[in-house]
Amino acid sequence: MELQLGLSLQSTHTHTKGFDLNSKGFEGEDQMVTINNNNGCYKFDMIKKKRSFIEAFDYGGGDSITKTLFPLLSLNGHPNEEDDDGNGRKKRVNHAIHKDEGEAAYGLVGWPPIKLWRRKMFHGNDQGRRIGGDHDDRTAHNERRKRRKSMYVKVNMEGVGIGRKIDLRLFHSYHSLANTLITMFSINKKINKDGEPYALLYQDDEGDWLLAGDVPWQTFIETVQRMEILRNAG
Amino acid sequence: MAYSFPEEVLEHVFSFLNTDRDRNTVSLVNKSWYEIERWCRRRIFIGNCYSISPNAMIRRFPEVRSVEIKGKPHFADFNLVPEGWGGYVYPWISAMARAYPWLEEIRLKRMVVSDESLELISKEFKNFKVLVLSSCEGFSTDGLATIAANCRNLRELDLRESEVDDLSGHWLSHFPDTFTSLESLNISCLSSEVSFSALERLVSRCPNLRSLRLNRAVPLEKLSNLLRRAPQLVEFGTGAYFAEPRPDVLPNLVAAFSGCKKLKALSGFWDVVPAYLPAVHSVCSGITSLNFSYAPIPSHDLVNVVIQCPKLQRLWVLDSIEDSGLDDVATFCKDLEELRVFPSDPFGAEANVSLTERGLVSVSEGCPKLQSVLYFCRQMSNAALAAIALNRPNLIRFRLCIIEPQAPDYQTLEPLDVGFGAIVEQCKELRRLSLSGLLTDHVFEYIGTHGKKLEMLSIAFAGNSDSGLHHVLSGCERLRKLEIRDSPFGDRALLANAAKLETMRSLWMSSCSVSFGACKLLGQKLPRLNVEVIDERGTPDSRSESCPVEKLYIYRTVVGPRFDMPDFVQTMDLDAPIRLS
Repeated sequence: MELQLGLSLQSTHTHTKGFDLNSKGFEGEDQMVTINNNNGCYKFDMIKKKRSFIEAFDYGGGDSITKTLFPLLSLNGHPNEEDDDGNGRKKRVNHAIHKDEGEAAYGLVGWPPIKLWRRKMFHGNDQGRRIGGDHDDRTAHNERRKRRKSMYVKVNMEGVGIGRKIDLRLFHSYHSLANTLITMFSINKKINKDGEPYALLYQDDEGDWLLAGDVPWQTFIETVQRMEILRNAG
Repeated sequence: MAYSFPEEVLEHVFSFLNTDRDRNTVSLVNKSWYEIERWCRRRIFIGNCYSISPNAMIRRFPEVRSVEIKGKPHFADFNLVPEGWGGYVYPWISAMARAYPWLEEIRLKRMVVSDESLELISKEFKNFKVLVLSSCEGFSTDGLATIAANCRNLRELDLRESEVDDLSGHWLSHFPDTFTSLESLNISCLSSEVSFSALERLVSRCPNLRSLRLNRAVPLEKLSNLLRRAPQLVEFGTGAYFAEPRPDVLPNLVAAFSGCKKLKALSGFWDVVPAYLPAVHSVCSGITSLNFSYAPIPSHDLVNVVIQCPKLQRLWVLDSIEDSGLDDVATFCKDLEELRVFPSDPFGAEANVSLTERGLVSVSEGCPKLQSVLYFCRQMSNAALAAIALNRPNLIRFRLCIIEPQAPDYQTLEPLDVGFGAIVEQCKELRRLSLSGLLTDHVFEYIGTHGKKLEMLSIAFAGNSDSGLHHVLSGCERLRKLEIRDSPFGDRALLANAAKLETMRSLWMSSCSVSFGACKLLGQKLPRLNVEVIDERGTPDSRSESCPVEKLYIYRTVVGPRFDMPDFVQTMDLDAPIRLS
């Protein structure tokens, strides 16, 4: 319920009288013509019947977008963006990802309209920690890459639609990590724990995909950005 | 001779009036009633912190115990309001510290709260009981430490979704050993680990604790300890629901949950391992509220819990529940009143789960008490919307977000005007509506014609021309909050309906076509409005009259332009058209 600001304010009214500036001798009608494309200080294409929002906003058409490969995680320091389709194809194009932390889909700020907390969930950042606000500049990006802020990494399994996020701080060895992953995903895939061979791959902070277990555990947790479980062919 | 009741009698009668509307009404009867009422009003709600000044509030209402204040516009939640815009609570706190020494409750939403403010609260209000900071920012765990240390009678500390500068978890240890009055604690937004032993001791010594929402850093293995110490809990939010597989984890959890006979609400569930979910089964029969919206687990794992909750009234989930899961909700949760479905992959271009309009139609069919909907999906049709409208004419809040902007009806490729039109026409009690998808001016015609109870409307990428905005402003009699982004609405509708703006709390327009000149005109002609132009692009001088403003925030106020604006915000007002703050 609102505080009534003044006794004279009506809380409801049935018909709003238009405030007709012309009747007060204001000749602004012409001067106040809405911008459109005339003076060029603001381009705003009115969307009429365009089906594709991307076309309307001059993103160069759908085709060229789908062919563009966006830089992967290693270039922007965000370890956990959704850029695979869950079928093991890692480099699927996702033109919806924006590199800024004020994430945007389709290059738009604030769309889809999701609160900060949920956005953070998708980027694996620690909740609540802020360095000078939502819009990081380049320095903050680099700083964050040097000291690892988030120990949450995403794990995808081939054939499973939904990835999982795990907190690496909970593990102390490859063995404990592997056991947990098997438990986590065995329900999805109904695999026998000693059965089919699976390989655990991870992507390091330089973007390379490596087999887990090759480097010392400490090095691994300092560099791992995300993991993938693939069926072992051999 | 004046025939009147003694003041005390009137005051006693007024004590039964709890809503602001009723209290405002009685205060209009005559001067005497106005005086009596203002001295006995204890609770104040201020929907826009810039609509009135702290001193004006204090002058009229000298004996207030509870204050609720809101700051930034709603679209600040989505990064549309630049940092530094305003919404500072400190002037309120410092004024109230002098005037309301017996203030007990402060509830803030979208405000900037400094550590100094928190310290002032902790030291100046001797009987302080309730602090709720919803989507606030600007403070650190140091400020929380002062609250913990000094508020001897604190009952509620709720930090829901606030941005806290989380320096360490040590603040919790500042609650003294003699402190036992805590009833509700929500720290789910914090990332640092609090001292678990301090938390355990706190929970143990507060027998009235009924609501506990932990943060992600509290490990699953510790949950049993806490629940055993607080079997009286009514609301519980877990931390990370994940642990290394050990044989004792599940049995401990099962035992701990089964001891909590009063649990009605569950939340948290970050990083869920589905194998541990059955631990909550013993409490499901009493559960009325489930928040699984941070748990991206497969549908069948969610459903296994949900179908055991016949009394469920509120369900927040991710779209990983899928249409099939919502079918089950429709079958088993007949008491459902509120459904929120959030996207598990909002920035992905394609659907990662099988959740479509069908799930929502299903719930609208099966759940007769459904009144509040927030639904993110990737496809919608006019037929589905019409079905939902016919099934559920009792809807009060309907917020639909089709993730691709301007997506048409996926079956007919038509705009979704008719579908949303059905919603406003059938749902006569609809108070809140958020639109999405491909929409022309027609939808606004429907809304203006039928949305007579509509109080809040959110518009994005919709409409063709000013007539759309005109329909809304001239037709929606109860409209209080209107927020619009990226829609081709300009000067004409705004100026033609300028007087309407004084009957609303606020209007937000960003990336529309309102010219700088129109803003100046509105600001000059309507002194009871603040017309704020927010523009980070350049200096005011370089802007021509016909140039569209980036963002516009208009709100009614009795105290004129504010003085705490950053340089990218200008208020258009009577004196100088260009004001530098």
